[in-house]
Amino acid sequence: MSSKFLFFDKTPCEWSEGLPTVSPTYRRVKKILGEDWVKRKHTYGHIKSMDIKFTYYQLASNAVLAGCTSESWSVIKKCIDILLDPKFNLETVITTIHSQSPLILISGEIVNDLDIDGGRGSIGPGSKKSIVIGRAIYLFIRNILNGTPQGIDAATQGHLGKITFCFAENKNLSPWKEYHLRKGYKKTDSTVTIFSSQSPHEVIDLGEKDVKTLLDGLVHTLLNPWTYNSFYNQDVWIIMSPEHAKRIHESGMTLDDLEEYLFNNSVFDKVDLEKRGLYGFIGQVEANTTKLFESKDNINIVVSGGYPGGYSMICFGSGVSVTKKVFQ
Amino acid sequence: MKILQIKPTSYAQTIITKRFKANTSSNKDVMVINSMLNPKTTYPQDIVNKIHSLDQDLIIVSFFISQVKKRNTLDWYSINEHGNKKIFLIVGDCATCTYKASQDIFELNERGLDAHLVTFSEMENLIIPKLRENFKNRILFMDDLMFNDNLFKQLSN
Repeated sequence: MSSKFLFFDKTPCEWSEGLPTVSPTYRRVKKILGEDWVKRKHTYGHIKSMDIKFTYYQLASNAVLAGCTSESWSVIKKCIDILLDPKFNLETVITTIHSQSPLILISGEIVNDLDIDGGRGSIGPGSKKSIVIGRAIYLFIRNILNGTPQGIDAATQGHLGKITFCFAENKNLSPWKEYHLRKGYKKTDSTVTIFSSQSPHEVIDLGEKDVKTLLDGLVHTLLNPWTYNSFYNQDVWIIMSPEHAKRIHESGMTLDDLEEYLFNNSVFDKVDLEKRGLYGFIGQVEANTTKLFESKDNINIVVSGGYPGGYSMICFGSGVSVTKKVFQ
Repeated sequence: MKILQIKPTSYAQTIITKRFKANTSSNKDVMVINSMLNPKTTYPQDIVNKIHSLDQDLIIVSFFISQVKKRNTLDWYSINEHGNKKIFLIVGDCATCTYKASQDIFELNERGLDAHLVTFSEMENLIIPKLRENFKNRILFMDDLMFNDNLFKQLSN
């Protein structure tokens, strides 16, 4: 099936989640495509298992609908490349009853170009640019992949991050290296990283003298047996507030130390997992203790948000995070 | 007793039965595949019982395929071993599993095999469009009032 059917057979009011859209006129789509205008009729992506093909023009139309401008086009394309990467497991992310959606981190030089500061209200509604990029990805899923509750999106409640969940780090207030540098990219590179995330869960710790209460709070929240993570042992994201990051940094812990601490201390007792509702559905627990993470690589920590604020976010989800370099 | 090797899968349950009844309506063996997430589900066994109530002469092979662990469409299927069997794949308590299972059933029908998706009507949207459009009669809803009739009709074909 061509996605043309899914997209252009819908009326304009069916093109969005209910929020206003920008009409994808010929002129606007041409502008956002820029140099890619010559490829407008070319296939951008073909998801064989879903029997869906879509063109540059269709993808750009959704970006316009969401409110994006041409500066965001290279980021949007990279987001789509990640969604189409088999490692991301797109079909599962869209169809599952589990309420999850793409968490999108933009990192590197392009953050400045797009004027996304990763400051107060970073994951919503702090930056208009990141909000509309996240929404463009949602409208792509909605209009081209038919990812609506009436279509193939079976999420029980869903969450607001399904509509947009895109942010950047607070580079100025982070004591640690930017995420893309930690993943081996250069200072001048820009990257997009996507993880299939549940809604964020806030960890509040307003203490000042002792970092131990904060570490306990993180570990205690991570050790929630009623998540898929407790069985699949895959990625978790911690969107840490600058204040929490500062406390950890000033205690003498490095980021590596923090990851090591969380890796070693996030351990379930067998009885914790046996009590959970998913026990037996996905697998059995043989060992007396089980680590939440397979490796430290499953722990993704970024500093984002305003200062002050003793509030960090933990995002459970499923699968692994995929990072790709943005070519501008 | 006939033992089938299906791979790669985990054998949550394997039921192999053979009964006889005078009124035989089909010359094919039947494969009932359980792809439900709930390990305590009774639906696959209910289907086995219903099939037996129609035709006790059938050899019914029942086993478990995890749609969650499956990596590719039909990676569990071997035509050499199962080519002459009517297939009924039971799924429906997991949306992703239903979606992926519907890809399996479409592929099997494309290959000319006699394969059916057995699920719940609330999962209809999760069934891939090309299965709904091209092989509509190969989709059976367990909550449909006509389910028994439809099942028996498919068995008799």
